[in-house]
Amino acid sequence: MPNPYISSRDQGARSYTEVTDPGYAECAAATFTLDMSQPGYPVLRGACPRCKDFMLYPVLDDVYKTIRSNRSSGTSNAPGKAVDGGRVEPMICTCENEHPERPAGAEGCGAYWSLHLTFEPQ
Amino acid sequence: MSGSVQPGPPSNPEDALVAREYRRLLRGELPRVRAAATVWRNGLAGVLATIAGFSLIRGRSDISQLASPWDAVVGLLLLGALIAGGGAALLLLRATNGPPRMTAVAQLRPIGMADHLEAKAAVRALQRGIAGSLACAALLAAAVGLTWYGPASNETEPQANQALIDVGASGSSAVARQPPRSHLDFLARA
Repeated sequence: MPNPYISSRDQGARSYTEVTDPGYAECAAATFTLDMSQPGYPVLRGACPRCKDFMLYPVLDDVYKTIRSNRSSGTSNAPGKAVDGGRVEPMICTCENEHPERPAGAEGCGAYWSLHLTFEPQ
Repeated sequence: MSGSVQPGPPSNPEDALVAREYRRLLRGELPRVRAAATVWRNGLAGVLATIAGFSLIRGRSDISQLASPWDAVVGLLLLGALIAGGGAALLLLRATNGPPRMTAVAQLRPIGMADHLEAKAAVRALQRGIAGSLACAALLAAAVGLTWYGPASNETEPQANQALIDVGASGSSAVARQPPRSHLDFLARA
């Protein structure tokens, strides 16, 4: 198994490609940690399984889209799907390093995968 | 609270689209909140300025022409409008510009969440500011309506009668000098 912490800067930056692989989820599950220091606002941190660059990924329940009345808060539901004992979070690489051929407005190296997160009260 | 990370189910391009849309919304979240707050602030300021200007046309002497306790009620309505409007203005400014204070570096954690937390606080301030502005507008409208159509005090009745006499004697210029306090009264006397 390749070292997940060798950055693309050390390997030569990979070009941006929207791609997935079953191994990405396994690699990310092994290397990502769930930062729960702020209750209610978990953040995934670790190395992208494709480009190996460090990335952060906030795991939120909602995000602001537009203002509406209090009955409808104007927030958009975040993409995570609740499953038994946690949620499945679709993820993309959000590293801030340069990747050739990356479209304007895009981020990361283009890799995507999903993780199963479980939250347990201490 | 702690958490564990395990591999999820196989992903497809639709999952990637959903995740990219989420990231796009999250990246532009705070600027979007600020822009919305600016528009709401300007719009509500215009509405309140219009209502306040409209209510000041008659001058505050009209309140003294109201029968008790309606003059006190109008005073309370205006006080409530002042409090609601002042609070709403501060909340809208907070939503537009953020709190005027330094942020402790320790409060920046978790990294990557600071903008979302600020956006959430700004949305709360914006919602409360909008509610306060609407309450201010409603209180102002109630005060103006009560001032115009509320019962007159006995002391002002002779003045109103004199105004009607002036209308008959010298035409509409008397109306501008001493208008009837209530449109309904004017219609009844006509």
